[in-house]
Amino acid sequence: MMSRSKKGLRFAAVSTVALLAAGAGSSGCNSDESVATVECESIRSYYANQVHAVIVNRCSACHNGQGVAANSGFTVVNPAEAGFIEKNIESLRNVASLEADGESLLLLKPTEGMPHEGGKVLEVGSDDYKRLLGMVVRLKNEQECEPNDADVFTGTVLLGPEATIRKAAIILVGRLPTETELERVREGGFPAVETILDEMMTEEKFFDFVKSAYGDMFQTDFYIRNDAQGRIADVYANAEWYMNDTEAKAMVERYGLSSYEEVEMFTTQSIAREPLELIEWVVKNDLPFSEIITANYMMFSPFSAKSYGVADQLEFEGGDPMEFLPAQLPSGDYYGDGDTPDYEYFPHAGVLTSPMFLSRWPSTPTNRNRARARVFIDFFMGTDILKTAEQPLDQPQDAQNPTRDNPSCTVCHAKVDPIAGAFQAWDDDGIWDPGLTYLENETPDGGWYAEMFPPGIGDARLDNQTAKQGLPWLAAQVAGTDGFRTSVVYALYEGLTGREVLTPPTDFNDEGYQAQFDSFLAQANTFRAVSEKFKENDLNAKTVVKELVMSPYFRAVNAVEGISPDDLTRLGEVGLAKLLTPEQLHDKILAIFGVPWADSQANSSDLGNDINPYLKYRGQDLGTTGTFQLFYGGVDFNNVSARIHDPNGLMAAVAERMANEMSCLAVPADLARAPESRRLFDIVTIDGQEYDPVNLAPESGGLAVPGAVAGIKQTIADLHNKVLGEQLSVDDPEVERTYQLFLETWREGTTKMELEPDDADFVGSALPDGCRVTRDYWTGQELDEELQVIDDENYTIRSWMAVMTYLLSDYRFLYE
Amino acid sequence: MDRRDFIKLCSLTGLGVASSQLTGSVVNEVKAQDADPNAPLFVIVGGSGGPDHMMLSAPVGNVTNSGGFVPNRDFAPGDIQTAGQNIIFAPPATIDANGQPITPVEQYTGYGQLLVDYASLATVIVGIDGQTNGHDTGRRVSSSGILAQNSPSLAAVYAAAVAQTKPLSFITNGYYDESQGTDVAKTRLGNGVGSLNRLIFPNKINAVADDDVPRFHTEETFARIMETRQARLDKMIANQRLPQLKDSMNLLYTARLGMTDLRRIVDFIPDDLGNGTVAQANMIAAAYAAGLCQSATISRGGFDTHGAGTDDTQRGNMAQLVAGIRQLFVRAEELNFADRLVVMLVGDFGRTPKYNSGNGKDHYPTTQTVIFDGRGRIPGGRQLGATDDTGRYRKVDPVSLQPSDSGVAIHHSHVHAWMRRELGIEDAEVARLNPLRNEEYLDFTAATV
Repeated sequence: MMSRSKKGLRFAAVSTVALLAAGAGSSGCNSDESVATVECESIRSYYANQVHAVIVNRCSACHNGQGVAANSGFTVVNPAEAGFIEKNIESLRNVASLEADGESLLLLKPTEGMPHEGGKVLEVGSDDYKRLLGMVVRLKNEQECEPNDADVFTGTVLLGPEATIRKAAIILVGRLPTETELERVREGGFPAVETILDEMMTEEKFFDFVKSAYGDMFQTDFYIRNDAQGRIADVYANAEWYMNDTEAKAMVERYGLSSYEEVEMFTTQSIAREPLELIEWVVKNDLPFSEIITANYMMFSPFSAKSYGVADQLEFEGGDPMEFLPAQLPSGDYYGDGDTPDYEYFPHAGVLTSPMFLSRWPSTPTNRNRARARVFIDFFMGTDILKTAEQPLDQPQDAQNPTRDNPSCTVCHAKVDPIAGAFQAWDDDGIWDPGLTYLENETPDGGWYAEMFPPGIGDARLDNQTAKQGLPWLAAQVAGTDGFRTSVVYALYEGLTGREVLTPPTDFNDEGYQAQFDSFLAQANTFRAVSEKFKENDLNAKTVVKELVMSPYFRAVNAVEGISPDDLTRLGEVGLAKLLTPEQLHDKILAIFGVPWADSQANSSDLGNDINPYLKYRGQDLGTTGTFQLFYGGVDFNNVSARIHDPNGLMAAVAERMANEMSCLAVPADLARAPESRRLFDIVTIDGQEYDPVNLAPESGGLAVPGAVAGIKQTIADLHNKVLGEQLSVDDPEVERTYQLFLETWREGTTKMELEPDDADFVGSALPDGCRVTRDYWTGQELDEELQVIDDENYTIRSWMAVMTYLLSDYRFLYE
Repeated sequence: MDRRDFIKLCSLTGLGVASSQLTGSVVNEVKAQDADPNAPLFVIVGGSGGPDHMMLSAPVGNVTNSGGFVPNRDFAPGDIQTAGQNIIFAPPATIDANGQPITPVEQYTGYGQLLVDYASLATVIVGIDGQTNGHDTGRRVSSSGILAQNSPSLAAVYAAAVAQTKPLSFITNGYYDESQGTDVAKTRLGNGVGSLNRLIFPNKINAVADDDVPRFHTEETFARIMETRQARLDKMIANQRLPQLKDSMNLLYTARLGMTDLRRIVDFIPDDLGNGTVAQANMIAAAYAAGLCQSATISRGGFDTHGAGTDDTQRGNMAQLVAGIRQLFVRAEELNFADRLVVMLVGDFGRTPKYNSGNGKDHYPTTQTVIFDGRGRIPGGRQLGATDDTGRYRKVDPVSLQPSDSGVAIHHSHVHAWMRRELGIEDAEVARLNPLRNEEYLDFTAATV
């Protein structure tokens, strides 16, 4: 921070301007000087709150990269572009420093104080003029105040350390925190949370989380079901190596597989999964995350290594057919035409040169890699280029070369086409063809399309020689940029929350504009801070996840009473309300109950093989989906590639079915176990006496049994904690509500058990068929008679089943 | 109590309801009062990728136009066919690229034949200035009438206005299905019935319709569980102030409403469900007949034909797409709701009036929309709007809708404003919360040809 006296001196130098700005009621810093009497506001904040609308409304129509004032020396970028605030401030800073007769061109031009081809767009003294004036003052004086973004979240109620680590554990690693972890958090507070997060982010499940976040974007899992090896067979002769029985048999034996079909399955999904496995490799090894686009290698399993012909380079530990190691593809004539020069190496550029990625985002002779460029900008530069064309488009005139000459087209194409050119050495199917053989019949000289914007990115141009390996060059241009970092924050935020990142509103006439913009800005400021931390920590993606978890976007659970409607609107995106994906719900169920929601009476000692979970793929076969996975909003990347994040009637019915089936499956089974082996129903101690919840009948002879009631409530409080993560005292109203459910169910059941068997309402003492415990869940072996649970003579088991269905269908179970 | 009064009451009682965030039980009481059991089924049928408007109802033929190029290659102006009063359409192909007769011919005759067969229901609006060349934006603006991102589809707005609480009020099969700002959840129904039974009968262990089967809980207990759960959720909603969290709780609430009614759909699913858009149509019709659904989308891709074979690909994919419309009307007849079916056929945008160097066609903002109104409320057999011989939209007089250089360009927002009125929802709260931005109202119903 600059000293107060220095600040004052600088203000004095532009006192007239500063006074005017102060008159606008919106500038200046706290100081002893009279010119600055309002709250200190950072340049970034001032631009966003005061100047952005002026720039968009008054300037950007002409002063953009493709507008009529593109060569004026002052251009601004579209708000849909990542980092638009910083970029536009920089542009304003450049022009604000230019003066005529001591006054900034930023003020003279739009007021026609000097010639302006766009005419007069501002009146001196108007509100917009004063806002620009305030900006000039700040920029000229390099006056910067610390951002005060913390205020944005004033009024939010945040999760404490224990609840934070529980939520993070469920979402990031698909389990509950261990008792040891909880103990550490209770003692160490948030610093302990951060340490445990670091530890969790070394677990395999965490890598699944990151892969899922990027997998939803890349869509490359499509090839798990769609002939991944066929996509590379033209180049790699051994793509289908498993057709050789001898080789296939060797792998069956080495990996203990059950059939040749499994050899093909692992080959297919290893090839398909390669780009996502690169992401895992980078994260697991704490490498700079930019390696996902710069890595000079790709990932191979023992199965895909054979397809690509690199098995000799790798030494797998053995045992895991989906173990992945990095290697480089051999050099050579990839296009197979015999004419192209040999190269010393294949120019790897992480996922950019992945055959799966390039196949999933193919090109055509007329598309010319533009679709690839669009997703590159989206995935790795944090900008959805199509949103820059949100503004109404004038009907294209019949320009000879509209993508180059028609402003309606160049708004996107000026950015897309150069990057498309960087992909030129990869043909429409994604095969490296440095000789551009595939273009021979497309262009007069067989080279890249002359009528397109020349290959490159931004101001950097790609020369013809480098273009033959254009993707490593492109990746290097982007890897260190704000845009790349922003793209990572966006991807992981969306993976974490299921929410799309906000983009600034564009309709200034909308009455909700300011509130929407404030909400956008709060999020953008948070993400910027996360991005800075990401940069400080050498682009370790775990930093992004940790910072997001610690932010109010993950931890806010409510707002304080009496908060104003404006503040609530600003907090519109704050707080996590994530309907768990099918896979996450599967993991949560498994973590709490120790068994999945799956075909009951399964007959296997290995969860990975023969169980058919309802909410995720079967075993290691990534090409399957659970019975209810797609109904519950999931994806298979084949027919359904977009998740549903909000529940509908059918999804609610899936949850309902799950709650009933799991209560039937888990409650009797848990109560059948020895107390020390239970997960749910601990022995409770009341007045020094130990009770098993299965034996706690709340009433006797129509009168309450106080000890039993206390024991039931203690068990209920414990279940709220275990299932929902709620820490309630036994006299909490929610415990009482659940107790009443238990009590009324017990009363109903015991009354109906007294009826005559031929009475329509009669219920017997036995559990419903299907909820009885007669076999071991995992092995299917019949249990010894004393371990079986068939009868429920006290009707307590069924009362606990009602409680469990209630908890499992609760908002707090289905959402995190 | 209407929705506005309810919000006012909430604010007076300190519930702090913000915008469309509403609290469960009371709101649904209001919704139930608003629901019209005879409200029509509204379906948006979308062709993803940009259907070629000049292969639909803006054909020119294989003549050099005023722009100096040939907009259609495989038919002459004289081959253009007609339906109704003045609807025109490009003829079906009769031979393939090798000069061989196309078999079956029907596969390539879908669009035109549909217009012939259902001419009395059809209003074709050509020459719409779609204002975009972008796929996402095109699907959004053609479905919502609004360019801005996250704008809700008319199908979602309609469902919200008419039947928000139906368990499958808005069934999506893709194209564009944003429902943000409507409090309507979209449902992906799939093409199967096998597992549906277990969802339809959640308390029956063996999940069959028979009453005399084991249950997880007695019906009395099951009802108690649901009541207790709802009471807890109501309290959570009342105590929650953060908009996103409150929203999510409300969505769970509405998703659960009428969940048990799902079983009715089984009675209306045909034995042969079919494939593709036909299966989509069959499931939608069943859900509507069962009283579960109010609006839906049907979609098919493959229209982004930048490469060779564009004309045949366009015809083939359009035939597959409109097969869904035909099946909707077939099932509507069988299930007795043909007079309560409204269908809107849209695409991202049109395609260039000239072939590119790869013999394909690129993106072009002029496009078209077709409405099929089974109610007979909108006079059918008409083609409105206009394009010139380059396929570009022409401005129209805002009253007569006849071409007029001093008139206005027809935008999707005009079509949607009209459709909102024709669907009877223009004054619904959810429609007002998602406003269209038009300077004038174009009355496509009153326009004569």
